[in-house]
Amino acid sequence: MSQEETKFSEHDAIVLIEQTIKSAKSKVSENGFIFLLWGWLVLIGYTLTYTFIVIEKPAGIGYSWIGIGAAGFIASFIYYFRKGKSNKSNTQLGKYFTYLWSGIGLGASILYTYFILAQEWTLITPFMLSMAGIGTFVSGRMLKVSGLTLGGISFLIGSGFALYFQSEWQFLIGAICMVSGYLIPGYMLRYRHKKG
Amino acid sequence: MYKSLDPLLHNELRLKIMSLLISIESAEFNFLLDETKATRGNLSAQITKLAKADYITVNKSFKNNYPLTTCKISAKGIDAFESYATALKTYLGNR
Repeated sequence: MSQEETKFSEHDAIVLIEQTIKSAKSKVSENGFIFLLWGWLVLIGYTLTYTFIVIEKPAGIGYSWIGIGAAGFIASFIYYFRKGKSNKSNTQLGKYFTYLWSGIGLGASILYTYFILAQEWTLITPFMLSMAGIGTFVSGRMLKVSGLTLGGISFLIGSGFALYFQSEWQFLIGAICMVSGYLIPGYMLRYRHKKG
Repeated sequence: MYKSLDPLLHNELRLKIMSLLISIESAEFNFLLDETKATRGNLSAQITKLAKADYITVNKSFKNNYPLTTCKISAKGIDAFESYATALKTYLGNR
């Protein structure tokens, strides 16, 4: 055993393990960007939809959602492209996170398209809220962030209310869910990430 | 005193490498370099020792035409790390 090794005590070893694991986890933790991005965009979308219905100009609804969807997908693509380029480590958790949201995104896109083609307008919001709820709830359990778990539950409750009301109130429920399900947990993640 | 502790892991740099790799699935050489603040030569030497003991696997590939070394902890490495951590806790608990 070298001189360097004998100087390294058992207490030093346990401190090193704890500090290194904590540091590594904070480096690869979610910064909440994607929740904040979609939270704000969809909140704007629901608010615009509600406003267009109240002022009786429904033609604007479709255009606003196309704009919001395009902005969200472009911003998400750039974010993940840049993240992937600078990423020097991979976690099992990160992989599961990607699988979960890719699966939800794909399933939601298929059914969203069906609802539009079938003109089942009142089912879109409850369905999208329940999809977001499943993803956010599971993400919260995986990342051990209670704010996300509760946010996921709020989406699922909101989905039930949206099914019950089936009117312009759906969009206000959707907007409230964006705040409780994406924005508050998103800011919590950002705070946790910055704090390390 | 050190008999119960794995001598391969009871080294500051090797233990730091293993602690990093147990926290994340795999890491590039440069990530380990940034996190450990070790020199390239020393880090490379310790990675080789851990790989020879089958505690980690080292994969060499290319990324944007540059050589890329990626390290991943093995099942044997996880067992060894867990045994080491348990032995440490037992030792410190008995003091």
